[in-house]
Amino acid sequence: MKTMASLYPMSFNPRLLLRIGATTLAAMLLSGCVSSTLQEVRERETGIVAGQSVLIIGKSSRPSAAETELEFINCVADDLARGAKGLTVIPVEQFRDLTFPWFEPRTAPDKASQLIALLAQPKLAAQLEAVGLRYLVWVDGRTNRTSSAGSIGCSVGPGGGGCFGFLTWDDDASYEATIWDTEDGQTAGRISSDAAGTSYMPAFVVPIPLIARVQSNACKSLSKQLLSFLANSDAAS
Amino acid sequence: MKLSQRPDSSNQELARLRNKGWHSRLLLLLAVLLASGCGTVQVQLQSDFPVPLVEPLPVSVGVLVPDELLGFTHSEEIPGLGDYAIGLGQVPADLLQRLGTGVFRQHQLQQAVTADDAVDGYLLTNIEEVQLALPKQTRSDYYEVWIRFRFEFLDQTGASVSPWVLSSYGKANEGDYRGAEGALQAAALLACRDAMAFFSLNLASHPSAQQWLANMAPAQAAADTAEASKGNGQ
Repeated sequence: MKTMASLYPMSFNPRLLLRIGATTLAAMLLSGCVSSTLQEVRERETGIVAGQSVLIIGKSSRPSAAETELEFINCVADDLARGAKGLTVIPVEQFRDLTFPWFEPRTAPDKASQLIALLAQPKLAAQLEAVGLRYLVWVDGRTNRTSSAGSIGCSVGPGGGGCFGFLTWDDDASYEATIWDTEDGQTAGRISSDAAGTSYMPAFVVPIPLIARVQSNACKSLSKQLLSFLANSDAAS
Repeated sequence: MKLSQRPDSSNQELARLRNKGWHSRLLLLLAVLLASGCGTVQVQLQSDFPVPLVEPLPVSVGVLVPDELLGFTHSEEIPGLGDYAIGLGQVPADLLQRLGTGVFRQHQLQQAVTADDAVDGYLLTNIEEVQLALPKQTRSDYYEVWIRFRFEFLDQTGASVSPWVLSSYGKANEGDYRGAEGALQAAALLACRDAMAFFSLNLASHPSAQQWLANMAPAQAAADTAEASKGNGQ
């Protein structure tokens, strides 16, 4: 016969509770604070059904100009595809190869209205039909370090070594996703995701990084809102 | 005196000197590396280009791949940043093979014009210039590569009809790659793709190519060319 303690071990194990509490506290301490803002502009109704897919693609055309990080594009694509309600997301490199040369940096359409002319290309239209592309999401923006201060000095001696000092820096992530509907060649809407945060690194013998996950926060907010926007779940609810 | 016959203190001194020598050599190596920037970066391109998804022009073309194009290597010394070399290897042949498959109804890769070729004309490709820029030079996050291709349109006899100089561009974020080699390779391949993309979408409407196509295309083929030009127009 099982005892209460074995049935509900977590409730009666103070050591385990202490460990969980310490881990949670450490996780909270080890991440800096991030504030985020999300804005959505809907221009038309959306909806996605089985067999239709989405493409997340970054803008990259001008020499030397900053473009959206590949890491961010992949983060949004992965988040959209994750879970039971996840969408079918076409990997951008695979898409560029399948539709070459229409979506290369120099040849990709700038405006949603150019989609109609593109869809008139028989071979391209057949390829887009084959991959089931419904929404094309252009992501623009990036994460920038806006300021940094402080210093850390490290030294090693015969008796050991250590680092002392304090570093702090601010990151600002600003991204905008523009959603094109390939069915009617129109812009369906825009979602912007901004996040800002301050990271700290105090060092008393050992440096302890307290990182504000600014880009990750912007990615999660954007992909969550995109999922809701494309599925039109905000209108349905 | 042989080393093995030295007293213990001498052996310790020898070991100390050896250690000092090792440290000196390491310092010298570091100094040489620092003085020469980051040393030599050599990139050998490898590719797998897609076939352009366009309406093919109704012509049969001999695509000439000269030896100097296959063995093309761009070497450049950037003051303070080291030596950089980009070898194209088989990439031009691969690029032209895929380009020919997508853009022309029929094509064949060949090294030179021969009398018994059953083609309507020839396309001769060369690289006029390659330029690269490093993040430290542009104070950006990008490795950048520019390639200036020279496409020469030749008639059935191999005589030049018109040239088309096409500049292409590729860039790669250094944060997406582990080192300069990977980023430069990606930037150079993107420049090749850029040239392929622009060439395949604009060939039929480019004045140099129109002159070449008009010379070799009979009436029906000319109509087909105009149709393909309309279809591939940006």
